[in-house]
Amino acid sequence: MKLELQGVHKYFDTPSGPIKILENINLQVAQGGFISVMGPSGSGKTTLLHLLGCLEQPSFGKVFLEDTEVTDAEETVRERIRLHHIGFVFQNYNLLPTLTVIENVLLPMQLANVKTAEQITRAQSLLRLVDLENRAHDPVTRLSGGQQQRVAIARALSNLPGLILADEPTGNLDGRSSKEVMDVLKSINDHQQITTVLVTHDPKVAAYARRTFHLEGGRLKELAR
Amino acid sequence: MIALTLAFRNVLRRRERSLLTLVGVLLAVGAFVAMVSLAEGLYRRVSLELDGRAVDVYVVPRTAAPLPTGPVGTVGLTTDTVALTWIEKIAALKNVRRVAPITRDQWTSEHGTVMVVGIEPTSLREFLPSLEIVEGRVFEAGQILVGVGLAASEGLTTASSQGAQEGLKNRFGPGESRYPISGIVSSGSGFQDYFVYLPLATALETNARKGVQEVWVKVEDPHRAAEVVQAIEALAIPDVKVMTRKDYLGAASDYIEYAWLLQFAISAIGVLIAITAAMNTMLMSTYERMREFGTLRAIGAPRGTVVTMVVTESVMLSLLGGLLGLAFGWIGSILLDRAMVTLLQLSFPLAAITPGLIIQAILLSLFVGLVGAAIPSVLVWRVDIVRGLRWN
Repeated sequence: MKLELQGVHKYFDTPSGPIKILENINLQVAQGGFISVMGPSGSGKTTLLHLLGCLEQPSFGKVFLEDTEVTDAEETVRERIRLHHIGFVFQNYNLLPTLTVIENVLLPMQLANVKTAEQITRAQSLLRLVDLENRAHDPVTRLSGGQQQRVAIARALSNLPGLILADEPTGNLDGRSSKEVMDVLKSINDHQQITTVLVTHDPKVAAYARRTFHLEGGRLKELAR
Repeated sequence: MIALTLAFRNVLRRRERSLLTLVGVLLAVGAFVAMVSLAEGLYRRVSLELDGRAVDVYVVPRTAAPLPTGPVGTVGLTTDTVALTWIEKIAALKNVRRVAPITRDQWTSEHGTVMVVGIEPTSLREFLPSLEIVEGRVFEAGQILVGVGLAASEGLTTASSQGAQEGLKNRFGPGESRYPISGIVSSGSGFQDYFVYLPLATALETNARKGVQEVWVKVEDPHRAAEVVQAIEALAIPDVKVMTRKDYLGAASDYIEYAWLLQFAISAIGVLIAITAAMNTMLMSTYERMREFGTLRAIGAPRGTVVTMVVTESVMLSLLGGLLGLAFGWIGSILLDRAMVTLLQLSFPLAAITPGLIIQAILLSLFVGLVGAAIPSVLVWRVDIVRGLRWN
């Protein structure tokens, strides 16, 4: 999926006046691209991700996904985009604790009304991809942090999205688990050409991407490789 | 399906809390069923009773309550009567086919008060067609008929049967005057199953009365019953009221409605508590799961799906509590009924768990679940996705 942000500004209203989060962001990512966005805490990295993921709307500017403007799309349209075209990977995994591993992976497919037989086949294939096939029926709460994040990645791929948005995916993981998770994300990007946008404060994690950006003071700047 | 699965799993997630909510609903529905079963039973018996009568017009003293049982305790109790001299005059009116003077008395047995109806033997079949003789025959002078329910509770049988050899009694009555039982009758669960029927002449002799408690009138053309009412009123019988069958049923229904409202009002306190318990559980559950709801919305779940989860969970808990409450209420109904029968010295049971009451109880459970989910649903509907994702 191609991405584009044109002159995007984002402000939050507060009682003491508007606070600038993002200022004049221009960004283009080709289909299959893998970018990372670094910056200090509170710099707006997550807000940028939310704009790309149709979770928030910019104060000014335009957002394009696959050449289609989604800036002012209605909520139901944005829901459909998130369900069918975007996969999210969160820092805290955000798996549903009452469901098993495979049930978490099945969830987006059930929301999208995918046929049951296909749901099972695809879920098993995704769990194989993240090397958790043998834990399919375990409650997710019994998995380690790294394993849970891999389940989250499998869930994000559930509806065969064109875009993965990963918000500090290794933020709560140790070094070894971080490497496992990033290897999976890199492999998915390399083999399936799914556009990936990764937000992190860790340069080692950022280095997995082919392009790296720095966000500070609301402005986005690409770093030379 | 997802909503159902997630709702079910969440009910099991906090078992103690779910159990407490369940118990709250169980007690509320149980109390409702137990209390309202009294009014339901009364209504059912009154309906059966009045449906089983072929009476078109009623003439009763103004001070009497239109209850098919006659007075219940002091409810409807009056010493006023309709003088016998008016019977022939009513019978002579145009469009009147037949007139049955009726007396009502109460005997005391070891099990409680027994209603006694004095009626002419020839009027029995005409005015009480639902009354079937299941054993023995119609009474003659000095004999009685007893209802099948009364016979069972008092251990009675007919004078001509062999039941007396098995220890059953074939005479019944107050004090020394025990009348031989000529037959046992059944009306199919009406009050009549617990009555005694006495020949009118015997009833009038026993109490040295010059009047009767009710006059039942059968008309030639039921569509002209209102005209007969007017004609009887024109006779200016002192201190009586004249009613068509419909008016009589309406007046009897008023008593039942009051009973229903009173019992519902008492049980409503429990219902309000159950709603509060359900709402508290759902609110706590909702606040705990804001991040889950945010995640579901983020991955593309529509608002409606997420709200359905909340409502399903609440309704699931309350319906389960309601079904258990039905069982609890059935037990409560039995106990309450025994207490009421003892207090009012009745010879017939009052309470009944009718299909209508079961449906009411289930709808009540559903109502508790829906109301309990109302505020949480609004919260979930309005949740900002980003705020939900960051919820601690």
